[in-house]
Amino acid sequence: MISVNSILKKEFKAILPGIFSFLLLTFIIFSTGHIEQRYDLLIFLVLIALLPFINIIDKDNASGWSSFSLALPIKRKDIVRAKYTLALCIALFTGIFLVLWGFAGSMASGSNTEPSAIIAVAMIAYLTAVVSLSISLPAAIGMGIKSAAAMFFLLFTVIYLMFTLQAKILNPAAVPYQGYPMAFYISVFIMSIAIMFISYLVTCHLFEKRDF
Amino acid sequence: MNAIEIKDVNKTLGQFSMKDINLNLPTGCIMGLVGKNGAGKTTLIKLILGIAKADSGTITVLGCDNRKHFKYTKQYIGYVPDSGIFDENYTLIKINKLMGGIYREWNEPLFLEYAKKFHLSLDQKIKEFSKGMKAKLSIMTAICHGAKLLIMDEPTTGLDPVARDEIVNILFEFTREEDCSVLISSHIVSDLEKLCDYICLIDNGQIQFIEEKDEILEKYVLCNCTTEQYNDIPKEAVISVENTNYSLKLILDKSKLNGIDLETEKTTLEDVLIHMIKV
Repeated sequence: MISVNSILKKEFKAILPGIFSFLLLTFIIFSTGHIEQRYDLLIFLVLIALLPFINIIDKDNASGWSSFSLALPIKRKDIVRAKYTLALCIALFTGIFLVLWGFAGSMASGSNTEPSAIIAVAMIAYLTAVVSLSISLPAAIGMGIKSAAAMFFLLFTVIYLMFTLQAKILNPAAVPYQGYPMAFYISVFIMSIAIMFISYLVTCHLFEKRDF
Repeated sequence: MNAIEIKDVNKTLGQFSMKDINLNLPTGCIMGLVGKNGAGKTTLIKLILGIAKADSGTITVLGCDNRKHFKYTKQYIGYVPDSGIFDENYTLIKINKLMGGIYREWNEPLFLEYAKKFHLSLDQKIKEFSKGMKAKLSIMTAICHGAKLLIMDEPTTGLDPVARDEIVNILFEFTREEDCSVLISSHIVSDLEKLCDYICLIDNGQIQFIEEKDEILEKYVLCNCTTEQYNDIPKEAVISVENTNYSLKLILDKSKLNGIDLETEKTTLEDVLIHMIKV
């Protein structure tokens, strides 16, 4: 267990510069007045938060760590688990961050946006993160396709969601899933965890079979 | 007891396959793995470490099946790959912390002692290290967790003679402990000649021979002779023939010469291995 925690710590430390860049970027967007008018920017921010994470896998491959870590006294599935824990934390981080952003923006602009609209936008961002990670992680970790393929899936998913939902998102009144009861949001959250868990099982299976 | 026991292992990786691999490395010994590029040395090392999985056969490391008891075996295996291990932005301080969390018996004082001995600054980033410094770092990382078996994949390749000599000395120091063994793959036969007790020649995914180094040096001799003299030599004694401008250069199996009176000289490991690989 100690060794798994060490791997997890290593992953978190590796992602920190990416998180700082993300926060800096959001601060710049915030300070230039794009508070809540551009919801597509918020989805773009999710992508910015995810890229450093995918970059870790690429960096690990380049440094030789990916192969070396398999010679350490750690189960393969623990290596995958560390990656998924981090992925889930990032997805949750972006979701919570966007809720705070929404409320801060609403208060700063005095627009009094519906809380359910803010939660709905955050949920879309969170789901975008979960879905794109759940697709790109098995590709990046399990099958050994380099970051290019992972990026492709990631970008594809995010851009797809951005463009298909953009029309509705641009108009806060038309935010999908707005105004649903809290139970709905909770069940979507549970569903997202289930998606990630299935993705985790698939990745574990692929990673177990993979030769380096 | 053997540090490594490989029995009837087969592995296919795309077009390449390892066939009927059998190998024993006795505890306390150093075995050199030699062969051409693409002969299967790295694949064999990865099979022992469990990085690649054998299609059939069994691999026992430090007395345990390397798949069933991998957590135990890996605690006591130090692995030095041919490339880097860590992110180039890491410092020794970070590596010390990371490895201390991974290995139960991580020896921090020893790690710091080696860092001092090799003049590796604790807060310097790896990207600022020379190739020799990186190699030393890989080796000290592999040794400092109470490893009983060191598996090294071309650790001295690309290093200058001084750095190579230092690494050879580290390995001598490591094997002073009776229960510490080393499997080292290298193209630099002179290093293996200094270090190894056993030599394993691997070619095209198959082990050609495993012999004690001293036996190899004792068994084979070098002979420069004329074509007439060559005709008198039993052909089963001839391991290889090289035609130079003035004479024939032969590697001969001394035991099969049947008492023929020939002027022979001692051969080096490099001569024998190069000729055997060519054959």
